[in-house]
Amino acid sequence: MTYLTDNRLQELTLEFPARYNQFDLLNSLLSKDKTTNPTAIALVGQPSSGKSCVLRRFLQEVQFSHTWLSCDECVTLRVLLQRILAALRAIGTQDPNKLDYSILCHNSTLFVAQLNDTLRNLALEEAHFVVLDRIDELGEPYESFYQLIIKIGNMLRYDGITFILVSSGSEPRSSATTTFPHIYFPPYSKAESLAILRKESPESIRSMLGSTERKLSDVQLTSLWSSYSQVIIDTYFPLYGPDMQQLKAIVRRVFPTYAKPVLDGIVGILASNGNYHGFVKLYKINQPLLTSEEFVRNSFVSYVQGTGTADSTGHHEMPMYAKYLLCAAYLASYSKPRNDIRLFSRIRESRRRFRNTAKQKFKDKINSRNLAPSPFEYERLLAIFQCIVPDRIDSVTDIQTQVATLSTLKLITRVGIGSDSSGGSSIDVLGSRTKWRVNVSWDIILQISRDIKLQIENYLMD
Amino acid sequence: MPTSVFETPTKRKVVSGVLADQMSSGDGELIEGCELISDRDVHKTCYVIKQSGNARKKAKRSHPFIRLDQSIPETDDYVEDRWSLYTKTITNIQTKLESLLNDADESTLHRVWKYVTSTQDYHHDAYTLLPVGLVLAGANISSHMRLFTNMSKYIEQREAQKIVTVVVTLRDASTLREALRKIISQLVGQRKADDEDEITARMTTVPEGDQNDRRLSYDLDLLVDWFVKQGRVEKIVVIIQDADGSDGDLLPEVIRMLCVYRDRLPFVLLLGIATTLPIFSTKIPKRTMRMIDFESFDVLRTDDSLTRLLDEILLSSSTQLLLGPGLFRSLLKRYNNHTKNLETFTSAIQYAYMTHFFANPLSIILAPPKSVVNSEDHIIALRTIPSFQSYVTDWTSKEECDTEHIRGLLTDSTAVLAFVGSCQKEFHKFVSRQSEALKLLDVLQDASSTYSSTTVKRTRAELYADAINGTLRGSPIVRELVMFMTKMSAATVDNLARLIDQGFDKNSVIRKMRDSWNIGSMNGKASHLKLISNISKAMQEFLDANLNSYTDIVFHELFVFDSVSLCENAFAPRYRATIEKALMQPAYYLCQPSEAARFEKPFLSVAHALYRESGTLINIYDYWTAFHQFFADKCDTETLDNDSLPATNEDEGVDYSSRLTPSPSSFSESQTLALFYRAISELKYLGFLKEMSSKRGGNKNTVAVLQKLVWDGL
Repeated sequence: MTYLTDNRLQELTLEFPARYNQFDLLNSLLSKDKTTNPTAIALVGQPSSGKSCVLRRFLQEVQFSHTWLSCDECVTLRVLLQRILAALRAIGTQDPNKLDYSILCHNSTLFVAQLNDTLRNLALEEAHFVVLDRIDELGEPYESFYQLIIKIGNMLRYDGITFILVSSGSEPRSSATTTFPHIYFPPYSKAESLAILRKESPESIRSMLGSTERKLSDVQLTSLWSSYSQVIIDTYFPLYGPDMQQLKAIVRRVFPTYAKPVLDGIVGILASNGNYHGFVKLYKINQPLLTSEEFVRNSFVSYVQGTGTADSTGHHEMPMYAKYLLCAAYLASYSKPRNDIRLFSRIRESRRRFRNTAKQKFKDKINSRNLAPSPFEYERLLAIFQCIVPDRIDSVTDIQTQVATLSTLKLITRVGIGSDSSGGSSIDVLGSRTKWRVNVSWDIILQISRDIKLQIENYLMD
Repeated sequence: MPTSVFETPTKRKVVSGVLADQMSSGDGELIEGCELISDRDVHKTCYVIKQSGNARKKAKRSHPFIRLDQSIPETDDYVEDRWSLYTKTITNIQTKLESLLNDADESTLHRVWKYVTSTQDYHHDAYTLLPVGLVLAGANISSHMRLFTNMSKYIEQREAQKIVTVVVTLRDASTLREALRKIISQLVGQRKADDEDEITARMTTVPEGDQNDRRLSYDLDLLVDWFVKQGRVEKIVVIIQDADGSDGDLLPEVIRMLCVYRDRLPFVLLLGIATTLPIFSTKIPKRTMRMIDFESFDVLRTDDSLTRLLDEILLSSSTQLLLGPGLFRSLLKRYNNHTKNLETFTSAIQYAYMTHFFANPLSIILAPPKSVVNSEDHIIALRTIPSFQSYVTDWTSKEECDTEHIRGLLTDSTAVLAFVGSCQKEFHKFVSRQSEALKLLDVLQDASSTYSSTTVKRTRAELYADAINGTLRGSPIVRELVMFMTKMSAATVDNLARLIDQGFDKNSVIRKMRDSWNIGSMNGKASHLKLISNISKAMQEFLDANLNSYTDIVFHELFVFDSVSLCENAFAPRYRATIEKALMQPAYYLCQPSEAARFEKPFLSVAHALYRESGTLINIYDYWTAFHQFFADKCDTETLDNDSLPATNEDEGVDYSSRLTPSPSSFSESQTLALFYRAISELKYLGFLKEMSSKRGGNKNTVAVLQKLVWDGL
């Protein structure tokens, strides 16, 4: 027996475009009758393909008794287990919001036992659903728990409970062959994404422009919004794909700036669809906005520079020798020790031609910048540092202090902790056996070396 | 836990003795004995490690200064005077430094506070991002703790009860759980659970009276409950001090968790960044970046602060003691090259002052007590000062010699003191003139930078050393500026006049000079040319007159402190050169009892000498042979001596040096071998050597060799 009629499903599909099949599947799978439900079903699909909201809407529509738990809030599995039990124990009490956290569950065996206890006390009349939303974002590895939930039906002595797993990651491999119901949410196509974006209500559009906005009528707003959605989809769909969360966020960020010419009265928008002229004019005004990276926010720098709020470089210089040390660390990581004499020495031997063996030639073919930085010794770092600084400096403690600072800032990292087998203290940071590795990319090193006027390319083989 | 000392980036030294107590009154801290350096102490700039157990007897004196009997027989009263003079000067300076440092932070704190209060209401809608303030605090980590504690206080004071702040470091939290536990326990106000054991952690974090609540200590729901109960709190500011020092994914994870809860908890995150934005942004994944809405804040405490420091402390009207050019140059160099840390700079200044008053018995002359007149020793000492002697020589070599004056100085103590007083006045004038001249150079550079943008402006701090040295007079920069003035246009003259009005007091010489220009009345080319030639001439004269050297002042040794090596050794010791020197020339450090022993070396030094002579890989057998041979040779030469002399080694009272260099004649081969092993293991402990086995040289069997680890000349 299904709970929603086909007409109702069609109506829901208007609300959630392209999700008819999923509603239909939910409708036919789940029921109030506790004997017919499976113990677990899974909703899978890419991030922001409507899994959670479709499920939420469905449960609201059919009025099933359910518990909604967001797994991304749980740092460890223990927190999640505790919350599940607490939520179940609260069913049927006077104040369902007051949760009882008196049980602490340490592992899955205990969990099953506790769950059995709880279910016995509850004695459910109707089916109860426990939604584990974003199970893949649990703070800990979730695979074994996933397995447990799938098989929990065999371990429970009381029925009436159904787990709904909502996951946007790939399923654990071990559970790929187990048979339990899956509902797949395919990614939205471009047209579907556009339809979803256009579904914004005039009130919420107005609130994006600021609550005091009264210039435009609802119809005008909707018309503006619909053309705007088209522009945004055309611009950003290739970048974000069907990630609706991102698209919606970017739509909200760009819209106030985009609509400004309209509010200022530079471009007139008519409610009729025939007014292409206005939209074209608006689009042309806003073209720089859509081509800049200002709203993409891939890095702090581009955003900061884009808005011009602060000068990101300039004031916060590292000390000069710290920059040299960092460059030396990069050189130590990315040049081979056998080339050291050739690169850093002025003696005659350095002019000798080095014969490369076939094996080395093969290795040299790979650009070392594409490889991980190789570890180096502290002494080598100091030697290279002495080679690249313009004037000779004594090794005062200040140099060590700066190495320590760089290491604290994780610009260089220590490798091979505890690899010392011959009895020496393995955590001796300054021990000559300790190896280091640079942790900064080429772009940044290049920038730093320009600051100190060091031709760093001269010291690299490639 | 000695390793933690090295792990941390801050500068630390062991300053011995009582002086250290004074040093540490600033930002250092006293550590008793072998007490562990806990996480709280990690950012201190200075540590004083005192021996625990038999603590030294406290001196009866109320101050740490001692009598300097070697140069001048002092009485305790004079020591007392020096001490009080020092404390007076240093408190004066310290208050200025404090205000300087605080003012530098003030503007940033204000902007951060404004940002925090302006952040959006948290339950705006589902798309509200987590507000994040990126505080670019500079690379000197040691000042971060202070900055962020101040920030937290600043915000809480201004928004009493409405905003709560919590300062955390991620350095010691290796997992997300620990980080969240820290945040929660600081806010909910429970004791921090130290161990990983969940039961105890839970017991300590659960609010009292609610025994049924068995939630884990890192469950953010605890914070939600707490927040609901508080009622008045509108924002929770989480300050992460060391955002770029955290391991791997920790920071993105923390941001994600705060983001997940942003619809229930009004978080504002402030991240302290010690590197630059480009470097920091490589550590944050794009996914995380899309969750947050950020704004960056620069903590401006750079060259402006240095200039202010120069104006208010070094060249102010109340300056008693001037830092010499060499010392200042070395401090500035260290600041630019190594530290970029204003706190270190200021503490170095304090140290210089302290050294002057501690080590110079004549420092009381800066504010002479009456009894000095009677102290013949002080007067004699004053007369031995080189600048005074050369003054007297100059006078006597002149033809028209005022012999009375000189005789008075040489015989009458009151006359000397009066002369010192007049010299001191001259010194004060010198200081104020230097200050004026430097300010003028600043203004001129500003004016000329609008005229030509190619020249890089040199700040007053950079010019200071040259200025008081007298080398700035007639230097290229001054010539260039005078040249610029001879070519000024009318608009530039106006601009210069405006800058002078801004920069100088009404009573200053420059201001009076500028008032005499009467710019408005000048019309026409001829009059303009006349004006600018007047201006440039006047300026040239002013600069020539005021940029004189401090060595012109008699008794300048009393007013200018310029001991470079003392301060350099105190703040940046050359540890490596010292160790190498000790190994190469042990006689430097060992008090050798007799002449003959001077040529003998401790066996460690012998091993080190052989080590220096060998290649990267040292065959152990070769090493041993050479070592043994060395002693065997000695035995041969010394057998003759030893026959005549009784062996002294078995004596009870042999001193340390003879234990280090026992007479080799008394050793059998096995004893020498033992010494060899010991020398090798000591070298290994010092980090010079590493054992390894090698198959080099076509040998099928592995050969035991030692690998050299320390590179020469670093």
